[in-house]
Amino acid sequence: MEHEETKSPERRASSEKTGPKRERETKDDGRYIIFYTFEGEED
Amino acid sequence: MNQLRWDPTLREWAAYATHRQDRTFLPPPEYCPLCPTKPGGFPTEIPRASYDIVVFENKFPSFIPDAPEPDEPGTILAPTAPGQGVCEVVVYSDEHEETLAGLPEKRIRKLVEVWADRYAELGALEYVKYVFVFENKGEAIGVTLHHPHGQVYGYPFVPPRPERELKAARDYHEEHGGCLHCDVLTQEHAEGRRVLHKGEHFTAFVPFYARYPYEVHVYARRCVPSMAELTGAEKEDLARTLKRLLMGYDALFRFSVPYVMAMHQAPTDSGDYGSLAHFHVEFYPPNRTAEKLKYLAGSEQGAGAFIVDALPETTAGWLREAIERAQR
Repeated sequence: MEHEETKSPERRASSEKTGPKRERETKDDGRYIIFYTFEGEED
Repeated sequence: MNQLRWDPTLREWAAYATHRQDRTFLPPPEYCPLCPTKPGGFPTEIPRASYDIVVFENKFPSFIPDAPEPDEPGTILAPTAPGQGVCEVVVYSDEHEETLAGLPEKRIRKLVEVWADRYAELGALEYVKYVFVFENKGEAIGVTLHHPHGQVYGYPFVPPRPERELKAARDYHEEHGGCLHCDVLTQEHAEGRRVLHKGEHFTAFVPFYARYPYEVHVYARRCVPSMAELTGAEKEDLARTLKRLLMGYDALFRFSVPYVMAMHQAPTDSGDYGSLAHFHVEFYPPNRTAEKLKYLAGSEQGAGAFIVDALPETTAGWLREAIERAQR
């Protein structure tokens, strides 16, 4: 999924300032998959 | 095929996604598509041997980003529209037997972060008007996969229930001023009989007007429209409150209680929802006793009127005891 058509860049930016590390990959059939990791934070 | 059809008699959209008939249905654990892909093993949806939290596009989506114009043209009375939107799966853990209730509080805190991130990302898409975070848990609810996971739907419209809730909040605001949900919370705090847990930033209670015997709402104390606006302390308290409630549910009947978990937040259609949208989480467990389920039957489905077999004050007392018991 492409994300060019956003209506609120500020909202997206605010969530990117902090939070988990995200690794976005594309599956063979084109679907995205996002791996969230939280470095230095054990459960 | 993803298609919307307008119901002019109820003034709401119905979504059609015929490919979902073929979705994976209760596979044996060794073929769970949400488990990690072990070296040399069954290739699952997640091509790693371990993971924390994973989000991916649903293989059998109710809505898709590039939905075509429907083959069925509809009419002026009952138009159709593309089923455009996003459907994501959120996998909570790489442990197949885990549940949200069983996750460590710190993992739930991370999950809150992921939910907030999904709200922000999907809500920023032009065609997504409402981001709905939810979980269906248990076969009694109709889950097709047992691995601990929830879902996020990015709807191309504001769904009927949140829309009705927002209208009630708007009407209340115009008549009385202030936020309907803040006043509901104030009333619950003042009376106290249905309050289950009062954290620093969130309160869990059985609402005065609960439609299921063990329905619980978890309200942010601050009038905040969405998870994206929660502070770090609020996110921590939400995780703590959810953990306590879910452990209480499982202690109530001494088994892992099925439920629907639904998060209500501000629509993302660029409207002004100040003093109208108040972030909260709703739980609807179908059990009315350990052995009996509450079915949505004639009055509920045909007339839209819920008939409830137990008073919220009574069930809140039992649930409060279960939460305390689970903490010992």
